[in-house]
Amino acid sequence: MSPTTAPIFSHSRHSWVITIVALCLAYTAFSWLGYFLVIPPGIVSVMWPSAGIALGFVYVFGTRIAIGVFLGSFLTHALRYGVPDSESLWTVISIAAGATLHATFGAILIRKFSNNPLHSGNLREILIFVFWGGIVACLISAMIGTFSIDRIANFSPSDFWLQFGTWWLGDTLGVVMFAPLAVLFLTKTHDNSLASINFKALVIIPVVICIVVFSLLFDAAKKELESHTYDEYQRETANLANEFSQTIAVNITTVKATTAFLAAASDMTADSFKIFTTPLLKNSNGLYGLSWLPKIEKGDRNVFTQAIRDEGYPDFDIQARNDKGQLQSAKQREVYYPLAYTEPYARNKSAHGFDVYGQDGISRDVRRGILDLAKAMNKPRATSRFSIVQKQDEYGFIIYSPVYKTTDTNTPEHVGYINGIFVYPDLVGSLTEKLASVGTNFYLIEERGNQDPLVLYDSRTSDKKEGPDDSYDLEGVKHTSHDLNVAGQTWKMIFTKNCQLITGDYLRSLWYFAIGGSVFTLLLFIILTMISARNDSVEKLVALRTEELNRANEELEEFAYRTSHDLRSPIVSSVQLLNLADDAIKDNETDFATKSIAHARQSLSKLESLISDILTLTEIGSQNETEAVLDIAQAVDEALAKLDHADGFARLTVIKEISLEERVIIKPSRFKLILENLISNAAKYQDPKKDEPYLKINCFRVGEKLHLHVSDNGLGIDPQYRKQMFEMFKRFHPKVAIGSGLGLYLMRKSAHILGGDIEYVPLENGSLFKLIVPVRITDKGDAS
Amino acid sequence: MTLVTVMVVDDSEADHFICNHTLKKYNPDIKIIVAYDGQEALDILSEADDHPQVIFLDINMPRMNGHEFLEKYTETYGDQNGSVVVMLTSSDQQNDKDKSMAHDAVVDYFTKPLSVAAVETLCKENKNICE
Repeated sequence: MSPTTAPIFSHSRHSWVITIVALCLAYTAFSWLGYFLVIPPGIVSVMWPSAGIALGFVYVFGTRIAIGVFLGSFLTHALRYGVPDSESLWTVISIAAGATLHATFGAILIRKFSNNPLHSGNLREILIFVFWGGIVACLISAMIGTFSIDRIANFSPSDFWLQFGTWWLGDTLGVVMFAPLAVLFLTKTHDNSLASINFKALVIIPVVICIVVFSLLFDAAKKELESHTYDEYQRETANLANEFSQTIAVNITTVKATTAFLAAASDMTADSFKIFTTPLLKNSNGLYGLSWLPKIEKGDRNVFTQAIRDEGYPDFDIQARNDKGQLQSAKQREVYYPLAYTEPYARNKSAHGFDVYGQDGISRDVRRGILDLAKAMNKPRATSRFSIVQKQDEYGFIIYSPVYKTTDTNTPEHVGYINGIFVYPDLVGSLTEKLASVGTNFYLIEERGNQDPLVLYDSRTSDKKEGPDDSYDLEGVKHTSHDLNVAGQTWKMIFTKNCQLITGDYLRSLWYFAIGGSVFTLLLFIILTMISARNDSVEKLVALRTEELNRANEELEEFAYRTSHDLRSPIVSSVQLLNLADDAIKDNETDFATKSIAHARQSLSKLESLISDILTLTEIGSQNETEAVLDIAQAVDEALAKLDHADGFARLTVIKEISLEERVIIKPSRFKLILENLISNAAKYQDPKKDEPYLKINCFRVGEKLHLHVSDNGLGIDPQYRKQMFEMFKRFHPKVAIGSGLGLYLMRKSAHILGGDIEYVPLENGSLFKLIVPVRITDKGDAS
Repeated sequence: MTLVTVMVVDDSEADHFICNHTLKKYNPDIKIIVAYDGQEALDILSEADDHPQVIFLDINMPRMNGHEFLEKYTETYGDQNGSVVVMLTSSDQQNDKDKSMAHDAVVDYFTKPLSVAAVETLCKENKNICE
């Protein structure tokens, strides 16, 4: 059975197109509310109102407008993410198809399982609607949607089900909150448009207010949680940045300490350098090596080389890169700054003897510039990012600290550099371990004035030299940045949130809020519909009762008028007739007197029959007869016997066809009244022109219904009078018989009391009255 | 100045008997046309060449009652200078009186029984209808 939900406008061909367009636009419009209700960073919407709107439309207007859902979904995606390219086209199409199937199957399921329109205020109907249209049908859109996203995103199984659950919940909440509202809005709730508007306004306005309040509260709660979480995130990243800058400071201090040691030492050997630097290196993070780079004049090269070789490094030589980047013995130069001692030796061996001041090699300008700057400023200076000799697969940088010795003349003399080598992955090593707990990515860049910054380290590619190709555009990404000065270089630490800002309990509380809001809205809808429907049914009942009362009143007035007239009329006539008879007797006109008296008698007997009918009528209204067992065949015989003496009855041929063997339970005197009236009418209104007037009584049972068909070939009733034939005081055969005009009225009234009805079927020659009443059958032979 | 032809429309045989007696007393040569209800009266009028001077009309009748007859009669003969109607009924309800007198054709309202004096007065007051 289909609920009677007439749409607000008719189903012409023209309006189908309008409805589809309206659905498409409504879908798109409500999607913006869905986007308003997203949980940052903006992928997941706690509620998808468009799912509810789509279901409402398709439920009211039928599945043939479901194409509007497809168009709406497609349009929504196109407006938000741009017209899909060939790659994403299938995804967008499948999502749209999922939404369409949801609305279609939802509407079909609801119509299959519900019996009444939603606005009838029936709790069961609303729950059926929400269950089949929301909880069940949304599985379709969620499954198709998740599969189509999975094609691109390749979810892990747990992510797949999380995505599926989120989709399903969002669509279901959209249905819970918006579909009943849409259905009510789109349905004709009354014939009378003003009542319909009142009815709808009473429900729709409060529910819409509730939804608006919910949306605003949700947004406020979301922003509050977001700002709270962001503050926390900022604090955590600031701590990380602080820790990192301390690591850098310790490292610079180490370089400085070594510089001071060199400046103070009177004679330096490889062993004493090692003894001094080993604990420093052990305690520092990211310091790959410390080296002593003495200033060697051209003439001192051989002495210096020999001295180092004597200290246990027989292969030592001052080296430089050639044009191809290969290390080889340095060419003759005015001055060298070779790595004389380097610790830890094992991992820095490859750079031992490397002349950092060499004019060849690829990084010479970078080095020489920094070396000169450090020397000039008498401060440690850091190089920019470059490939260090010792570790070719990773980026690093070097801090050069100039060493000045105070000679006898009190003028500090530049004697070389301390070289601190750093590799970025080692430097940030302890930091990266903490990124996961904060839920952030991290990268370190070096600012270079007008040039693009250099990426020193990126936690996403971790330790590899090849940095990420994607840009570092931070527009729309939650991030914090911290500046850092590292021996003259400006670094920037950037933390980017790599997961939802709102997680855990905060996220759950938002979902609970959305679920609570939806359920509350639904309850409000249910309560308001119930109140409205109740008001409405009370109003309708009052109207119905008033109409019944008016009709009864009119009938009563008519009855009073007719009885007063019809009772009075024969008396007035009789008195006059008796006066005339009296006069005639005095004048000795016996014939006339006899005629007068005969007329008076006729009038009075007419009065008697009227009074008898009126009494029957009053009894019908007042008596509450109990049912009893009745033998129909016997009742027919009794009625025929009772009317045997009636005028014209003798002429009738009576045909009985009683195919009812069992006895029935019925209100007996009601049934007998109808039976007797039908028989006496057949006698009264027989056609005198016909030679063989007959009366046929046919009684049978069809299931629980008793049929009494009484037909004759009498005068019948003219078509123009048939409409009023069962009304009070209606007579259609003047001259033929004297009747009160109450017979048929009494029959119909009795038929109604028996729970059935009587109808007139005109025959070609005569009449057929069909009485059909419900009866119960007793067991055969029950004599009670 | 007497009535020559009248029509009595009433479903009661007894009333026909009384009217017949009274009208004959008033004018023994009077011609009385008899109808048992409004429909029959209309049928007779439609076939008659000359209409009666007065139609005595009852209200409560089978098939077509007095009020319904007046509707039809006015509809059919309203603009002709035909018969006048005199209501002759046992109803003394004001409602019936007003409803009947609203028709131009109705000149008087009698309650039963009909008397000679009433017919004479009718003739005096409506000279145009009596020859």
